[in-house]
Amino acid sequence: MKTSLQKWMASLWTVLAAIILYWAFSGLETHAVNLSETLPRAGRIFYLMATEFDSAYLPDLVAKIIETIEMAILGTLLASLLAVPFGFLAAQNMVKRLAGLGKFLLSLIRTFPEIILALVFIKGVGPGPLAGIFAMGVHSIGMLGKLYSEAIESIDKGPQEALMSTGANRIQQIWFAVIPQVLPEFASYALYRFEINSRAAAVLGIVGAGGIGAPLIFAIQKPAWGRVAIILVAIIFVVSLIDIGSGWLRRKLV
Amino acid sequence: MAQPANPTQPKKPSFKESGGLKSLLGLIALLLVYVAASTHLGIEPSKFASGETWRQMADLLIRMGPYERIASCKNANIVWGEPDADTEAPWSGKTDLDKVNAVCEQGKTLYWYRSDYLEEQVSYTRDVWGPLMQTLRMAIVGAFLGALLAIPFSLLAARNLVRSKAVYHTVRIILNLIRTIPDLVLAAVLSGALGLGALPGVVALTIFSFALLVKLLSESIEAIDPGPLEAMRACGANWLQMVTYGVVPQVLPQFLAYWTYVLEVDVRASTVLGFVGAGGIGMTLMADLNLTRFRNVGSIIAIILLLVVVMEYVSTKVRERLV
Repeated sequence: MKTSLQKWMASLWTVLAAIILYWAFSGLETHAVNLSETLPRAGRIFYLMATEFDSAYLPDLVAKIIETIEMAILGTLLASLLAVPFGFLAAQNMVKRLAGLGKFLLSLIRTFPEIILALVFIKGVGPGPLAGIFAMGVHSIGMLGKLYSEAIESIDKGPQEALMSTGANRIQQIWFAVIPQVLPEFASYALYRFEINSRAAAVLGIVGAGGIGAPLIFAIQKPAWGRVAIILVAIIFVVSLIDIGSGWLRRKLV
Repeated sequence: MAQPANPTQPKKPSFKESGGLKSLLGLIALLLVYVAASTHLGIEPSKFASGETWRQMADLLIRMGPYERIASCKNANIVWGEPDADTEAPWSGKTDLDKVNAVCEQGKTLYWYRSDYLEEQVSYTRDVWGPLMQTLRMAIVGAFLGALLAIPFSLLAARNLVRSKAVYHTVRIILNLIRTIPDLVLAAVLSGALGLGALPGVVALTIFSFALLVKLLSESIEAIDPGPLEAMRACGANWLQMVTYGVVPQVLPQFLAYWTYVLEVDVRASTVLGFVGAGGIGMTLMADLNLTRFRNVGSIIAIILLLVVVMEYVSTKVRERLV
């Protein structure tokens, strides 16, 4: 049974949550929006999206979608390689005390939004897919490095100790005892990140880092709702396909 | 270990048996994909070997800090300095252009430390307080409305509560399709349809958190202990009674934990939703970026990072207590 103190605490949390909700709703400044005007407009736009489906855009769309997928592939490839040293640096059974520092570094990288990284890279290499690839490549290190380090921490110590007793040096131990054990998991995590990056690559074009995002934003600003509709359908279709394919591959790997 | 009668060496596994062939094929496939994709995209990773690329990125990062660029030339070395007695700081309106040009001719990029940096940015933080709170509000409201919608739908998407296969699969497929849309794409389309401001942001976050929560929640409903449900069905309880007394008490802690997680994800997302005009601090960031006020951009990024880190910490602590 609940004690009376627990009941008090529960009602206290409820009141606090209610106050926070009230604060959030009251200050949102959406009351300035005239719903009787906005809703019919939104309705008309969805009607336009359905009726004026811009199928003439299909050849350009396919080219842009392929560009987006290639960006996601290259970004993931870059990150899956760069994350390996970070993974070892953050694994307790590899570097002992230093692992805390590695973990902190990885969470710092994870916090930095991809799209802001893309802005920095655009300044360096100019707008285009290269900036997007590097933004994804650097941002994905955060998650992949963490997952890699967890995979390394959970390996079977036997092979490594056996190698150590025969006089293998550190590099040989890692190459022959650690890498073969963690490689399938690494590949599986990289595939999972590829699913996430295929969504990210569709977004990065919004700031000019290549891919389908830029034509989408132009179509919204124009506005050409038929084109927006076909781009949206393409994104949903391709991302679903990638999810299914990568999920199947991952089940085969691990 | 018992010695075999015939002490021959165990047969060394062939290259094919040891998985070497598979690894090699995988490596070759990756290499081919890399070559094909990078040539098709026409990207030049060699750009990162040029000093100019790094200088440009360093320039952005330096100007996000307390430094102002006074003179810049292509392929120039960075020089740090402070305004001295005979050259007034340019932000006071009196720059010695001759001196600046002289620096340029020496092949140097000059950055000056802004002595008024701290005061300027403290007062700027006061200006962005409003958009920052709007970001937080958008995240809270989006997560709340998403949860309200998610509760009935996660019951429909749970295999052990819905007998009808058609309902279950329809709900699942629709939710999977919604979850494939990236949050920023959703916000961009909605800000085109509903107009700029917090409204498209809140609607996008609501849809986003709704789809995520239904997936998480329906999975934990499917994993509940069926005992209480069967006991109630045997007593003749109806569907609503079964849900209220059999399901809710079992999944409530998990639901709260998931909700905190979704709130954390929403805060993360809402900081950048403004890039497409969907309200919050991202809109301020975009405006500063377009006006090349890089010191303000730096401050906003620092604030966003702080907000995300605090939110992550709070949500981790709450989840630790709940589960």
